[in-house]
Amino acid sequence: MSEAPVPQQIPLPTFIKRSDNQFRWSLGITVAALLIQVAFFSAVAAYNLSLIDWGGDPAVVLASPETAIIFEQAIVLLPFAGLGLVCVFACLLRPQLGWHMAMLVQSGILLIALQVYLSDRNNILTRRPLLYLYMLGAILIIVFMNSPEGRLLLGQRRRKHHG
Amino acid sequence: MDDAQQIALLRRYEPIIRFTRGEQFFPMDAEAYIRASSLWIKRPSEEPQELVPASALTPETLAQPYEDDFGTVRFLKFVEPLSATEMAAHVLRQRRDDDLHEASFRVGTGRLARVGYASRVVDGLFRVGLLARGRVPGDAATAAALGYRTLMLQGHGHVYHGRVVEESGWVVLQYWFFYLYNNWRSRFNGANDHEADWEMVCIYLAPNGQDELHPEWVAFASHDYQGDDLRRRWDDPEVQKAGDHPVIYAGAGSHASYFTAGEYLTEIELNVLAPVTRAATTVERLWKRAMQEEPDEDASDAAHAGGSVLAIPFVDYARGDGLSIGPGQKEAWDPPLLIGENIGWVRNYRGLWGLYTQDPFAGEDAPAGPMFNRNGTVRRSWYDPVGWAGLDKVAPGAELLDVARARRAEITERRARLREHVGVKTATLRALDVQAAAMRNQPHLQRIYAQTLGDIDKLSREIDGMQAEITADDALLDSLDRYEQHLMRGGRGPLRAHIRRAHTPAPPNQAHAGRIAEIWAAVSVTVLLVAFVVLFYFNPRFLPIWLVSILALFAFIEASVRGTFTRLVGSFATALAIAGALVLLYEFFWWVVAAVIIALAGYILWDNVRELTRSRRSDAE
Repeated sequence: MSEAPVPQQIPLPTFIKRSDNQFRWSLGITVAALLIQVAFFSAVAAYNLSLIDWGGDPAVVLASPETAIIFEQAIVLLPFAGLGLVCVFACLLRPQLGWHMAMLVQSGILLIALQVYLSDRNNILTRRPLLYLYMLGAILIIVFMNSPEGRLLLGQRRRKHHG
Repeated sequence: MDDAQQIALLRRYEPIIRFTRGEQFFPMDAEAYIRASSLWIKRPSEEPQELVPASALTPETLAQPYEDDFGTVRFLKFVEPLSATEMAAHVLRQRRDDDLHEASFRVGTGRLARVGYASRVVDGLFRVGLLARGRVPGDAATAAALGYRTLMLQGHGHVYHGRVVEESGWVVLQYWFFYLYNNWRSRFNGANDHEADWEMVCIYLAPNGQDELHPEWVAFASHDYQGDDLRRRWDDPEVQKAGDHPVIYAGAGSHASYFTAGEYLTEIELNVLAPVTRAATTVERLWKRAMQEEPDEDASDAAHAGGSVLAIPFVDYARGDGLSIGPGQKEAWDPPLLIGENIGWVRNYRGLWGLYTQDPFAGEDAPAGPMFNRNGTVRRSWYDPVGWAGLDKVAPGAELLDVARARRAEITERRARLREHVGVKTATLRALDVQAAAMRNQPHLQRIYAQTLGDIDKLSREIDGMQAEITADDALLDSLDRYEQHLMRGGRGPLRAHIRRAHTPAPPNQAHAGRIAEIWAAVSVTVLLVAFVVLFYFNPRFLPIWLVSILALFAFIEASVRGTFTRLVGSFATALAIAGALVLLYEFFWWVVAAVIIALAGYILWDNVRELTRSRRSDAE
């Protein structure tokens, strides 16, 4: 009769061994979410810029209040699109730094969105549906990145598993 | 026990006190202080009046019983204001002496670097409040140091006051240390200054079976700690000893007693802020739970677990690197002075030992004598030294086995009694059951039948309860039996299980926090307040966002310095996400409700379909 394996020899169930895979999944989801956000911001900014008739002198074109608001809406989004791209690279190269940067960028988006929501009650500066979409996107990304799966980017789970 | 026996016992176990470098006051004879002081009285709505001048006051005068109106406070006053010349001369001499003997005090890591903004703001207000509150004058510590030096030159040595009390099978050795002055605030950045300071430690002796007394416990008075947390077992490694003499590490200026050398973070909570503190602590706990943060490793010590968010931090330096007094040390004790209720000034003088500043927080008021609290009531450590250290529930070692056996006999007897009752009640229950069976199908007995069924239920529950008690007693007796065996083999109870909140020195990583953290802690609150003023002055277009941004910036700098950046980023983002989610919920409430219902419906459908397909698959197999 063969001896029963000692506990150390018993193979671990697959769901315990999936940490590395899970990290890759977390990284993939984070990068994908950030890229979608970047693409969305860029598209909205590009669309807004395309609405402006750039035929004349830019100073004259932007003197019109309506045009200025459209331009402002596009310009506000572009830095966040750029920062989002930086976060994507940071997540791929240094996940821990990327996690922190992504959370700060999402916080910045939410902070400005809330400020605009509270101050711009007459919907002059923004189109409300878009503002809600920005907020929803940032909330979903924060919720994921704060979850145990999202926090894998911080390296905590991996260290614990190997420890 | 006569006086000679008491003194012999006190001397056998007299403690060694290790002070911090820079300490200026050491234990002395309280009667020398009385003779050098004047007696004052402060009646309600009146200015203080001198009752007995310094030259005329004696311990006998102080021992006279007296009657005063409600609200009247008597106090001694040793310190008289110094002239500017005397102050300057003393300060110069002190500096020279410190340089010569390398005796100067070295400040440790800034206390403010160890706590958050809220505590720093409260601390600032507390300090500003000192200007308005009653407090000991700034030159009092210098005058006291000069006075103490004069007394020492007159030949007074280092001495303690001893008291031996027999209570509940224990012989308690009380060592009372009288210091002329507490200069914790003025010299060591602590919480308060006051004239006179009474500190006390207790050693608890019990017969060891051969009618010899031996020490079993020791308790050190330390700030507001009380009960079980004060005492350690004699064989606890934390209790350092030289032979039979326990070592006390005295806090610099405060003279609080510690078992281990180190720097102790002591937090003082203002009563007026208690509700805010409770609310903030609850919110913090809930937030940590929501964020799934792991609890602090050393949760037993509130100070290290973060403590209260609005408590004012103070560091008590008990380094033990200064003068050491006691057997085999650089300085020895003079023969002890016995005190007790037979001493007039101990029993009859309920006033303060030192200036009555009328400080609402009482921290700057002098303490009362060894027997009394400031309000004139008797101290628990005086009338019940055993209960004061939580020893009232603990039997001396030699009695433990007997106590355990007696308890086992009690429980055995109780179990036998219960079994007897169960037997009687079971017989009754069976009789009732027979009675009920006989009445079944007898309509004219319906009422009695229903009542019988009720009685059966009730009795059955009673028996069930008693059986549960018997089972619990069985387990208890097993435990007691094992514990008895353990005691018979010479074992003892757990060494430190009684300690709920051990006061431990700040760990090295805290004590050696970076210089940047210290500088930041010192300037941050001022910079923050100035930034707010500038912001409100210029009143920018988006004021709220600027306010939040400045707060966030300061919080992030603080978090970086304290190594909690990740936690703060997570919390900040989550808080904003919650605010955003509330906005969306407000704007799209019915859409959200509809989405939730549709999601629920979809989940139920999916679950049912899965169950259906699974049952079909198993049918096919």
